[in-house]
Formats: sequence, structure tokens, C-alpha cells
Amino acid sequence: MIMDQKSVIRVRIMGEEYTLRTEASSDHTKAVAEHVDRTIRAIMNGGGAVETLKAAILAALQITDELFRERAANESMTSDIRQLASDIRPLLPPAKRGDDSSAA
Amino acid sequence: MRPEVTAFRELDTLVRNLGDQLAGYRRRALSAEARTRELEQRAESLDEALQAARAEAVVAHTARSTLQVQIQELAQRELTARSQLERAHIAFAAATEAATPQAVESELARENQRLRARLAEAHERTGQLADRVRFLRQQTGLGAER
Repeated sequence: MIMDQKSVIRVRIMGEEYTLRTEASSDHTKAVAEHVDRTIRAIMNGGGAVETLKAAILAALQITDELFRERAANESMTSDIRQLASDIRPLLPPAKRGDDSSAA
Repeated sequence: MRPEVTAFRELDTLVRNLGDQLAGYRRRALSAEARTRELEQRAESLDEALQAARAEAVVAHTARSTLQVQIQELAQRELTARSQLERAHIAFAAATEAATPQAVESELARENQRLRARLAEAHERTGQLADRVRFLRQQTGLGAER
């Protein structure tokens, strides 16, 4: 997904073209732009007449909410992985318990 | 590096090590299982040998009992034979003691007298038979008196 050198990528959101300089790959950047476009359009088509700026702010809120939820889920999964690792560690001889075993 | 990536790599290493460990345990378990089978087979063969030895011991015990009975019987026969031999020795000694020249002569004289008496008796009976034969011939007229 992430590349060593920055590249210039053009994307289109709500009919407007944006030129982005990014280290991410073209496919990833386009997928992000499509997601933003799709979310804004869903909000605008959701109900009532909503102007584009407000719809963009609501889309940003929705995407940020998704981000926070995913971060929490990610942290929970990381915690589960660490717990599983600490459960497995006693089953192994000391030499094979990994770097953290010396600190434990 | 992101924390979840670090945690995942750590878990990945641990799981791989655990897999190696389990593979080692499996090898050891298979080896122990093979060793157990080998020992079971050896125990079975030893058990068969033990049963054969027990059967031989029973046969030997029976033969020993039979031999003991035979030995007792032979000992009893030996006692009987010794007793008979002893009696024979005593009888022989008594006969030897009694067989003096005078005793032999006296016994011979008694025997001679018995034989003479029997001869006289036979002579008398022969005479009686001759008288009867003569009488019968006279009665039938077949012969003359001699």
C-alpha cells in the first residue's frame, strides 16, 4: 500500500477533481476517494436536501466514527493477541519464549 | 512498527515454536509407542517361556513324586529281601551246625531203615498180587499153576 516515493494521483469526488501527492499506491488512493465520494452521496441521498459542504462534514464524521470503532476493535484484537501469546509462552522452553520472556 | 503488527509477529513466532515443540513431542511419543510395542512383544515371549518352564516344572515334580514312590517301594523290597536273607543265613547256619558226620550218618541210617521198610512192604504187596493173579488164572482155566 505504501510506496517509497511520493506520486501524484488525480481523483474525483462529487464531480470535482483533486490532485493528491501521496506515498500510498494509486489503487489505495483511488479506493479512499471512492469511499469518501460514496459516503457523501449516501448522506445526500439519505433524506432531505443537504448541501455538499454539510454532507462532506457529516461524511467526515461518519468515516471518523468508523475509524475510531476500527481502532478500538484493533486495540482489542491486539490485546487478545498479546493475551494468547502470554498463554502460549509458559508452554514453551525458556529459549523459545521470544524476546519478552527475559523481561517476564 | 504498529503495535498490532508487533503483537501478531510475536504470536506468530510463538505459534511456530509451539508447532516445533509439538512435533518434537509427537516424535518422542511415536518412539515411546514403538518401544512400548517392542517391550510388550518381549514380555509376551518371556511369558510363553515362563509358562513352558512352569509346565516342565510340573512334569518334573510329578516325575519326582513317582520316583519317590518307587524309591520307597524299592526300600521296602530291600528290607524284605534283607529279612529273608537274614532268615536264610540263620537257617543255613543252623543246617551247617546240625550237619555233623554223626548226624549225617544217623540220618542216613534212618533213611536206610525207611527205605528197607518200604521195600519190605512192596515185597509183601507183590506177593499178594501174585497170589491174586494165580487165583484168577485158576478161575479162568487159562493157566497152570507154576
